[in-house]
Amino acid sequence: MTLSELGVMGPTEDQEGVVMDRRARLEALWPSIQAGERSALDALFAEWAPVVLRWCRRLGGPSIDAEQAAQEALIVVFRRLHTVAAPRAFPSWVFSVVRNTVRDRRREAFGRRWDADAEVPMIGVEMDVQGRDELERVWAVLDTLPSHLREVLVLCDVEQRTDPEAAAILGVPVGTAKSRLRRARAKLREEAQARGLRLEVSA
Amino acid sequence: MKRRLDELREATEQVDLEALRAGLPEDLSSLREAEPPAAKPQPPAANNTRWRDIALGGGIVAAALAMLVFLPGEPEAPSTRPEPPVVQALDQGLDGELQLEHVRILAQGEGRVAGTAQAPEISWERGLLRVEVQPDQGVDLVVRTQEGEVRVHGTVFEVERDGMGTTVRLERGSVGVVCGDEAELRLEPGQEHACVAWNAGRRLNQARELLEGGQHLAAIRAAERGLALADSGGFIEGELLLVRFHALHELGDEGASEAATAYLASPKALRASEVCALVQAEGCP
Repeated sequence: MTLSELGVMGPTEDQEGVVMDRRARLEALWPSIQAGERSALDALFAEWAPVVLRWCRRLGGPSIDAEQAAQEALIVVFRRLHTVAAPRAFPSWVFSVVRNTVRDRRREAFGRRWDADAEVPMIGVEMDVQGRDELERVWAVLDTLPSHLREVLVLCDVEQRTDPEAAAILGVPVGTAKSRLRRARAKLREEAQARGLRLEVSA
Repeated sequence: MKRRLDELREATEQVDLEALRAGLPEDLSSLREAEPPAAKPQPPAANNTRWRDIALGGGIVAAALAMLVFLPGEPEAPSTRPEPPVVQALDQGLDGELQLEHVRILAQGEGRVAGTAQAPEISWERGLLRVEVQPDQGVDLVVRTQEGEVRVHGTVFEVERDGMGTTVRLERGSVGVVCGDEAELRLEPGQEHACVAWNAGRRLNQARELLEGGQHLAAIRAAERGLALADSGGFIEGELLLVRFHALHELGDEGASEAATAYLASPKALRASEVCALVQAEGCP
């Protein structure tokens, strides 16, 4: 199955079910979360910390320490949780916290590119040499995208979220998300071809 | 063979929740309005002097500005990397890092800087440019691309130019963005704005949307800008002429007849009968 088919098909019923369940759990827990009940906060952490870490990895790429970025973002989340007005605003708010954290980290890494002594952290994933090389080439292509295009591509084409879900997380109209996704795919195709990387992407 | 982005998703899926939890307090509610726990040690910076952003107490600085203060760094191991040059007279290509008296430029792409250290003028062609300007130093900096320009009023921002146009992202401070001959748009920290790389096709889409929205004068302007970019005798030129005609006709402007004639004279006047049904013009049967 190619990415273009994935983009057309959208999420499976199971994925939609997961989205609904997560939303329902959040709404049910919300009063306890806002009251600062320990068990509710632990449940929130268990549900959302993996999402935060994956966002840090996928938006930040190999140039940042995603685990450290995720911890920073989670600290901000739990410090400022009481400022979120309603559970439906929570996912997009968390995403904006992650986005700001990753952006700061990427800027630091950008500045360190001229520092020959700086260590560039790599994703701590066990892969064979060829697999790692291929993945680094994919990261290099993703890295050429401006952040607002990379975000929508990660949400839709890597995480396979629906357009409305991605738009809600990004805090933009659905039309804007779709438009950005089209541009992101077009640019990704262009950059992949320039690097001789075969990357099937929806038109 | 597995899809590349699927591989990326799988490679980034694994999560060690315990390791993540270890960096946070046992009672998460204690974080609320509290100071965060000590961060992991940062790798030492290579420069002996570095930019440091200090957030001052409330009531001192307007929300849109952040103070950038030079501080000596902590004692660090000697670096073998040479300090970036401090340049006063400007007329050079941009590549890598450039340090001016009150401005720091990080360039990853193609462009030039001219002007003076107090009034740098950057022409940016391609790639990512990061500019940090110390506020309240009288710096008057401008970054120009083909799509527009950024006028700096003391801040940290990024300019990125690719085939789609120029995107300006403001981190802190204040910038104004001018796209083409549009009015200056002031950005707030955290905002971004894109100046589109217009071509005839995009102008046609814009003109059609404006016409459908009843903004006839704006539709005419968009169509005329598109006509300046369109290939002569092509399909898009014909469609732009048609939009211009319809907008003028809707306005009841006497120029509609001339616009109809111009459309009918184009090789791709595919809807001549539609136009002739509305006006009598040269080229109508």
